[in-house]
Amino acid sequence: MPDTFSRDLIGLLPNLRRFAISLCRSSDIADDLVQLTCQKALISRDGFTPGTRMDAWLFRILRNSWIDLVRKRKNEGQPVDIDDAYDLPGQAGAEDADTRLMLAQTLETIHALPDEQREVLLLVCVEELSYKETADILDIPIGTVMSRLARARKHIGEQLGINRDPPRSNKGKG
Amino acid sequence: MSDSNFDDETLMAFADGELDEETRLAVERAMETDDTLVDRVAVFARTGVLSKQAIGPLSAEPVPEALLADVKAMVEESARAEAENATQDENVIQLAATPRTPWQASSSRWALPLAASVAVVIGGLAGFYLANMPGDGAPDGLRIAQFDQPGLIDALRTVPSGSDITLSRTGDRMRLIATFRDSEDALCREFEVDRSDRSTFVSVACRMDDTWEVRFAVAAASGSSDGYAPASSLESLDAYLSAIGAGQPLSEADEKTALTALQ
Repeated sequence: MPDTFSRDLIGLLPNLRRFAISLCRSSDIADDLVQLTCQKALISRDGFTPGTRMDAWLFRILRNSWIDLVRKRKNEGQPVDIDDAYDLPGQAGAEDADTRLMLAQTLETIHALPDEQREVLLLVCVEELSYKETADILDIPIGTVMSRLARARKHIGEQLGINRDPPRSNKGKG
Repeated sequence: MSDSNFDDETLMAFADGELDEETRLAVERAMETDDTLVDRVAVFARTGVLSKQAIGPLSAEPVPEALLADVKAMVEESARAEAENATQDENVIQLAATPRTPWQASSSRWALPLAASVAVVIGGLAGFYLANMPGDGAPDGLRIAQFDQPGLIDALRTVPSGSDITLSRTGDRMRLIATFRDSEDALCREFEVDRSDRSTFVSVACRMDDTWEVRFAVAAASGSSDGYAPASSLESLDAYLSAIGAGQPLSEADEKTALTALQ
């Protein structure tokens, strides 16, 4: 009979996968990461404060595991293959071709962002964590969260042509 | 225009609802008269929504069976480990308190491996724990350093609890404390032996295959001339009894029946 902690952990698997896939851009590595995260979470479950956001706690573990993995593979001279073919999430629900195209472009742009900007974007815009929660997960000041996030979103805006700053958008169209 | 002097971070925080009340109102007021500001805020609002829409559906994907199975197995494994830890914690508490309370006969099976470790840790009994030594000629096979006395084995079989006897060969005093059954329904006797050097053994022996097997023994230097075991050794014993799921002491009549059955 699973306890609340275990039930919540299993319930958050889809969110952990989403974060992991977007973070490392590879479904295979993502599933390994999620598994490792659950393992660590169960071992250090006493470190979780009931009543706080469990997803934030898990994202922190997952993200640190990811950093460890990248570092380890670098030391072993084994590159992390982040260019794996990545299946676009199903957008069958999107109303029209324009919207689908725009979402595909958004996804592409997010994947091309520097890691430090992408993880902030994922946590705030996708997982809907606060700046403060994101700062805690990443161990960086809120100001850094904000500047990275603003840069990431301005860049997406530019790529998608929704930046209304006239001189820049003209240049971008060239 | 001074009102437009908001940096990107502030406008983004406005779009994300992260601004304090005062700054939020200031941005709102400025936006009423400054379209550029509105456009800048719109970029952040729009990119936030698009990011969510682009990546959000990923969580609707079914979790791969293999991953789900792995995690469920980990959860179960962790629950088992937790249960064992909890048991150990219970025993630590039992050690600290001193209740000679009735033991719960319903103790579950995992207590048994634990029981062995408790005995070894408490008594350092590796050398004493000699169960079922076959073919050594002793009638009952109990061969434990200080307990290797014929009178002692006879006493386990015959003397009712509450009695005090003197072992003829060494002159050691032996007290039969209680008789009970463990979780495996083996007949067990708790007893103490005061040696002539004023040390006391507190022990539990259980009847297994026509042999008395010493399950627990603590040697303690006795603080008093009357040779009663110090409280700390009794606490250890309590923890041990709890761990093996010892039943309540048998009544005088039940004990008599059980001992008679051994003859």
